[in-house]
Amino acid sequence: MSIEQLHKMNPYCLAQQEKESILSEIVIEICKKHYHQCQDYKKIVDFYGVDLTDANSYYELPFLPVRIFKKYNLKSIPKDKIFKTMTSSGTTGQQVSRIYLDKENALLQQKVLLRILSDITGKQRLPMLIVDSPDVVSDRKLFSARGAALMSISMMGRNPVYVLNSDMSLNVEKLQEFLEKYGEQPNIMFGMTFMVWQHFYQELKKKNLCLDMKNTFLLQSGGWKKLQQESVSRERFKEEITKVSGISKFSDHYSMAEQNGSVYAECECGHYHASIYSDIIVRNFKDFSVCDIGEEGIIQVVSCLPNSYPGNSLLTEDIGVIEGIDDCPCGRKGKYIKVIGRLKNAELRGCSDTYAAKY
Amino acid sequence: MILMQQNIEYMIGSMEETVHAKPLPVFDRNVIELLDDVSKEILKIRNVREFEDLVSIAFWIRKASLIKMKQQYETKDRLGYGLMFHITPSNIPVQFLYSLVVSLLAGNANIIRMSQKEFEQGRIICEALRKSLEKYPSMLPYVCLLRYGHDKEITDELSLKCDGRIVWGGDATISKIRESPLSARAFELTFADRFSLCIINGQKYLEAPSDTKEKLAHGFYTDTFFSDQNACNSPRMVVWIGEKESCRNAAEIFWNLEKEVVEQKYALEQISGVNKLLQECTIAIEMDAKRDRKNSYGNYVNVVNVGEVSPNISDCKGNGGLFFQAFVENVRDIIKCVQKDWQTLSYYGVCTTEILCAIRETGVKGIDRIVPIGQSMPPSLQWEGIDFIYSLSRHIHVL
Repeated sequence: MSIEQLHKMNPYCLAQQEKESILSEIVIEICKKHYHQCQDYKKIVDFYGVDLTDANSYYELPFLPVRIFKKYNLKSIPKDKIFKTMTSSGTTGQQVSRIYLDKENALLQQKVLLRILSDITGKQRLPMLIVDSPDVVSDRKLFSARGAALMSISMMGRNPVYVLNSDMSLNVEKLQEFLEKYGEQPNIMFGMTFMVWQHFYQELKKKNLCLDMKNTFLLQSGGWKKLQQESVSRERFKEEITKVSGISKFSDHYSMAEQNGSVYAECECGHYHASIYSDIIVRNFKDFSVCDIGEEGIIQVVSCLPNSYPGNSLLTEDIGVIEGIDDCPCGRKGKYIKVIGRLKNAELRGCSDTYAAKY
Repeated sequence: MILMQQNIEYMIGSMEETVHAKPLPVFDRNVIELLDDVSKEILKIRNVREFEDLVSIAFWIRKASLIKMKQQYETKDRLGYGLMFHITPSNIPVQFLYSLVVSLLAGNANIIRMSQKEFEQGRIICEALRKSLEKYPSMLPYVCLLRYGHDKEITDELSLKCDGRIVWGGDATISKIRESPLSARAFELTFADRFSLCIINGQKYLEAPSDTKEKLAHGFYTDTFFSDQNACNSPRMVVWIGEKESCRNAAEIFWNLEKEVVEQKYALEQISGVNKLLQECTIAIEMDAKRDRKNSYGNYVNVVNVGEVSPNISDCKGNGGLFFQAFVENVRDIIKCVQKDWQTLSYYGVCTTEILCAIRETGVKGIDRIVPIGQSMPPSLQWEGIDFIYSLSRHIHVL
């Protein structure tokens, strides 16, 4: 089985057991390539005494801590093949992760992201609003995770409209203009969770504006830490947004710069699903053993996308839990998870969270 | 004084009084009375037993213990130098008290810069000192505890004023502090980054009764986990001596027992495993080392085997319970690698004479302390080959 064959399937069609065996085959094959083409990755695999030719499942692969990408430039491609370098956005003073992509890997990420999200929002390209300033994507030399997410997701829509000005204030005229034009048909709004809250919701509330966005699907991504600090739960977020805008369809997704593309999107039941391209293993704090369903631990992410850098099996600094397998009422197969928060003392990472830290 | 006083936070005392304090004789009676009272105040605290380090130093400064120390010194015609300026480290909570005690006993007045990092132990000590100084007001000028940020002007001023400066490292702190010159007559003691290790005879360990093994596990815990291996005398590496097979078996028993102790006593943070995973990956990339195959000690105890024992093994600096491990045939194999920055060698089942012989014969510059496992922490008037009483006081030579 190859990734090309996965592209022909619905991204949630495989039951866990079958998915594990297919995904294992693909991921281990890619890891073998990294082993031969990335000296540092080889050293790590050898350090843990893992023999990749013996491995049967991605559960057996060594997992790299995501912070390793801040310390080392890990890549499996020659310099002249680097198409773009993704950086995880960091506030000043924080070290930045660097993820090296060749053209093929960049396209693959984009393709998979769109396949996953369109399974949630529907296949056709819809008019799209973006809660951000167009400046974020204009500097293409250094690709921040936020910029990359915007670039990729804006491909889902037709003529995306950026509704924030350079100073992050809400451009109400632009917003209203868009709604006059497209408000009566299905449309999409995308933004980083914190930015939607701060620059869309808070602004509307302050201005005492109530919009009619009943046909809008709100897609979000980015961390929840800042909102958790303000005691805004996912439920309250939805309620409040509905109050000011009439938006009633939501989907958030869990993602990271180190494994762009294979995101964990929220379904209509509020569950975050692993697609056939990737999986989540939750590991115990005390010994990294695999947690049972319902047991909290550290999130490990496994993805078959990273091809130009050895990022297929990573240990994040997020705490989460597997909520169920193959049995979500929405019908999507595989694991569905809940992200609970960040490990304490962990460096503040991520895109919208580091943005929030400046506030 | 032209200092930017508003940038200084005083915990105890004031600089004005301290700079004018007169030197005292070594082991002055008032100093002993004061320290004995501080000891009582500390030991009175209800939850003090939670802090082994604090209890240990409090017992050490009781009157009876101090008088015993005094008897080992030639105290006649010995006086303090005057004003000592101490820079104390952020990683060991009771270090500033230790630094204060040895310098007071030597007869000096003290300005101590404490770390910005807050520890419960630090709070308890300050409270005890405050209460005791109220009872012994004549001692007030001798103790000034303060805090300030990275402010070179303040360090400049204090460095020029003092008769001696004590800098508890790391290397980076020392070179930074040295940018502030001392007056011509002043001297300096510095304690730089050090590497410490533990050596165990594998066969002897296997033969040891189980309660000895248990005791060693607790002792090793005190030496290492108590300071998260961040103290200079904490072993970063365990070297097994003897026939390989028995050493390997011994190591497995040792680490499993250690893991049990750590599980009982140590509050493992959720992030700790991830931090050590990052350390391991860094080691994998930078060094010739492998994770110990038998390592099944969870995230409490991580053991990394180094391929070869060489002089640069002192680069092996793990913390939070990450240990390097090596296997050698005899004591000389390890001693010949000793570097100048090696400090404490803790041991089990190895004859100290044999170690000393090896040090003498190989002529290495490092190793200042040789102590049984579990004894790498207790306070002493000697440190790193320096005797504080003699180093911090002057002897008036009368012909």
